Amino acid sequence: MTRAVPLIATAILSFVASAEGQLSVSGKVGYLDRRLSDRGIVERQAGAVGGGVVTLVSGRVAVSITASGGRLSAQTRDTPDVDYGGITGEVFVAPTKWLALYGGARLSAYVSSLGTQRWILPRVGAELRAPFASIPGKVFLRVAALVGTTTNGPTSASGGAIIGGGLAVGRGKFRFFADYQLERLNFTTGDAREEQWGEVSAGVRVIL
Amino acid sequence: MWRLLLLHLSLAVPASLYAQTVEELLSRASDAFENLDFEDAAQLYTRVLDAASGATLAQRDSAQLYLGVSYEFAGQRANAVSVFRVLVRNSPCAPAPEVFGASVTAAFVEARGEVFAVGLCEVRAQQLAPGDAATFRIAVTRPALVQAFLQDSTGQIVTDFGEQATDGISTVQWTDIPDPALFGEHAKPYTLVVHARERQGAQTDQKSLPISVYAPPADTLAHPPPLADSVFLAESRTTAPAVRDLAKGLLVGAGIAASSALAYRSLEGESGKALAVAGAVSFAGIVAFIKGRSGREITGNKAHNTALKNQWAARRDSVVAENRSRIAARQLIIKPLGERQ
Repeated sequence: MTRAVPLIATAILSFVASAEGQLSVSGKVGYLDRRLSDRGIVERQAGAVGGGVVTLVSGRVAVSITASGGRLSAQTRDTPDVDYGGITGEVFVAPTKWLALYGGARLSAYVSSLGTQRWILPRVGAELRAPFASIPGKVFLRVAALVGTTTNGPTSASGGAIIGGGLAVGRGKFRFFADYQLERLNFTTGDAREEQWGEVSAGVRVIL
Repeated sequence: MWRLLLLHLSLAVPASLYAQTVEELLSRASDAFENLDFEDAAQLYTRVLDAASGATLAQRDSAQLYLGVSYEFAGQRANAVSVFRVLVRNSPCAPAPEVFGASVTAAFVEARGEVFAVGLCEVRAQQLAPGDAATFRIAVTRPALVQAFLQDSTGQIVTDFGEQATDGISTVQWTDIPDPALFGEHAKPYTLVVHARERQGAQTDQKSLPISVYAPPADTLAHPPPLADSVFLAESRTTAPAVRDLAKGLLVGAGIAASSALAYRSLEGESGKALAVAGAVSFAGIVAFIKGRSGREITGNKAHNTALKNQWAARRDSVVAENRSRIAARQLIIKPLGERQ
């Protein structure tokens, strides 16, 4: 898997370089709240995260690669602090001005004193976009399904969902954006285990 | 004697019969005159001069002249002078008939010397531009002071041309013609009057002529029609886009807030982060709504419409100015309406 990531990234960037389109880079900061409910006990880790996004838009297709990381501090007893790192690759296809379909995957790792937990979270979903007529900007709502998730942990998820939304405003080469995303995993174990990531972030995008 | 009887009998002939035969009488008289049958010609001309004959003033003047000449050629000088006296009194403008020779001229001059009369000579139609003067030819048989004036149909003097000393044929000018608009667009009857007072003596005479004075309407331009509403562009946008922006912000914000509320129900915790983003999204919608309502004016269209209105106003002002000058340049028309009185 770790060897596949550079290959995928190279393929995407090759597409980026060869296609005629609009390339942009973004910097963002946010707050990530990770919650785990296991046998009725809720563990919570949260902290500031930062990262960057590279996006290429060509016609109705957009390719986006996001990398972020940070340290999540324990917010409950007997919960370790973890170092978080993740990279997300997504492809958007917008058949209309107000709807985009997307698919991709997030690779994330949580490193703590207890070990490293890795996740591969493929997703397919849709984004409803509503551009404003009076100001340069838009708002959007996003929903997706997590399918075929895998982890190196002892339990595997049966599926999950993503929901989120945000806004992007700006004119010319600069855009300000803010968004919220909630990813929720359900597990096949009988004790109703649930895991959830909620992240709010904001940043600036520069169109090159 | 028998000629006198014949004359009385001819006077008893009905006017309708005369009206049908004035031209015939004149023709027969002319034939007789050319055949040197002057007594016959005199009889015929006398019948033309009968009041009931229906002859026009011009026919009478002609008959009067030829009657006098006929009498003179017939050797009846006294009758000739008497006839010429009537001619001069009625038509002082008549020149001496020198073409008929010295004896006729002498009889005419003798008659003119015995008569004090004033008259208007051949008043023709005149078309006067602003600033022009109307000219009328008058004649007096002796040196006189002549006053000319214009009377309206009620007898009121409209314009006094003043008094001037004159002898023989001269002209009277009407120079201070008022605004043509005062005379109206349709022909109105007026009377042109000349009154003469003998300079050496006490005799007076007055003649008048009905005329019409009017100012035909100016050929003015039509005002440009008002601009139709369809040529104007919309100067402001509707509020619908602004309302839609507000709805987008509020609905997406509500969706974000609701999603977090659903998500956290079993994992405890607050949804403040989601509410913050939901609030930012809703705020963006409100800002877009306010901006949309305040920025409704389409400045380009407003400028276009203003230019259209200014162009129309310029065209209208140009037409008004042109019409004003055309009205100011209206001409006055003076026409004789009938025969001298």
